[in-house]
Amino acid sequence: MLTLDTTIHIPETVFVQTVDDETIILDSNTQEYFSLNVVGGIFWEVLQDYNQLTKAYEILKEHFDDAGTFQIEQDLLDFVEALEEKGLIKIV
Amino acid sequence: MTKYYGYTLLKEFINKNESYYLNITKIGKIIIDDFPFCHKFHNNQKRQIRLFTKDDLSLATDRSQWIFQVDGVVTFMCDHIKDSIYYKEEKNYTQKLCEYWLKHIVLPIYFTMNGKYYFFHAGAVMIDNVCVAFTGDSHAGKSTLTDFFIKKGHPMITDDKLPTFQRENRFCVVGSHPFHRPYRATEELGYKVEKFVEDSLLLSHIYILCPVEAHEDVTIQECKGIEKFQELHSASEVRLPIRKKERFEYLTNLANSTKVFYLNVPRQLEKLEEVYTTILEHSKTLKE
Repeated sequence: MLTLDTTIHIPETVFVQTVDDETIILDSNTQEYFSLNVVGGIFWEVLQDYNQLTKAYEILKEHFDDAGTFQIEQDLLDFVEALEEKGLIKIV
Repeated sequence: MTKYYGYTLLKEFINKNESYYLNITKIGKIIIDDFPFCHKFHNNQKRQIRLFTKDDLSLATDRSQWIFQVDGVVTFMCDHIKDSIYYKEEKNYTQKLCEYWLKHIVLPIYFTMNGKYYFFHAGAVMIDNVCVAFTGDSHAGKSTLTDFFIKKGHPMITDDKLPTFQRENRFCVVGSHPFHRPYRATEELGYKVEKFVEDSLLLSHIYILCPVEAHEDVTIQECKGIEKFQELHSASEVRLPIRKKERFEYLTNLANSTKVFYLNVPRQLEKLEEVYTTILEHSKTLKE
């Protein structure tokens, strides 16, 4: 089960760029691409820098200081779960 | 030894006075056994065409040599170190067929492999000294619209394969080859156009042609974000699993610096004049 103790890894075959404020993620193995809105883009950026979810959570909590901590934790776990389902990250 | 002087893709764009040529040489034998990896193409020319490489294309670090075979017509062996393309005539060889395959497929692959150009499946013409490109699905009307602009006296940049490159922070194009097909026929280069852009030009903007019912209006709407990326990605030529990261970055950089518009084109030839003037007026506003 996914918790804040989880560590993730972004495969080298996953590439990320921004077009007109939308984050675009390309899985170069499948040639499938996905877009993230501004908030999703911030989540992804933090995950790129911090592969331990507990650290990513701390950064996001500071960034979105007006959101509830439970909400951020839940959003982060949901986000990571969705990325894993699409094969865009691996759970270590 | 044959040299194809007339093909501007072979022209060095940095200094237009110094031409850059690939050696294109006829040889008697090409040994395919040295190239065990085969990539089959799905094409509409009713030919079996295959690309042979020494390693798996997606993993290969050495793409310096490869073979492109048009079954029963011609086999090309491309050598990036020697800047040479060798070809072997097969049973049904004709020079016309050889030129067609060389210009339409082999050279775009060659320049994609070495990273010189990024190709789009698009028609393109010059409007007020910049390049305006037309892309869209099959039968969206790219050739018809390109043809209309040519008839109005606009120099052609390409019939359907647009070579683009980045110079500093600007995106540019170069003329491909001076042939145009107002119709779609298999394995034909078409006729030679009088006005052809031989030098590089700035890429101004791109229209994605969207055919609509004859009674509908000609309209233009800007395309942004993921949709813009998606459209440009779909319009990309030479879909081989090579230079993936580099090509993704190139495409997103181009998307960020180039305006892309959906252009609703009514399916009625009489309305082409209206489409033409709409494009001219719209292009003018972008320049201002």
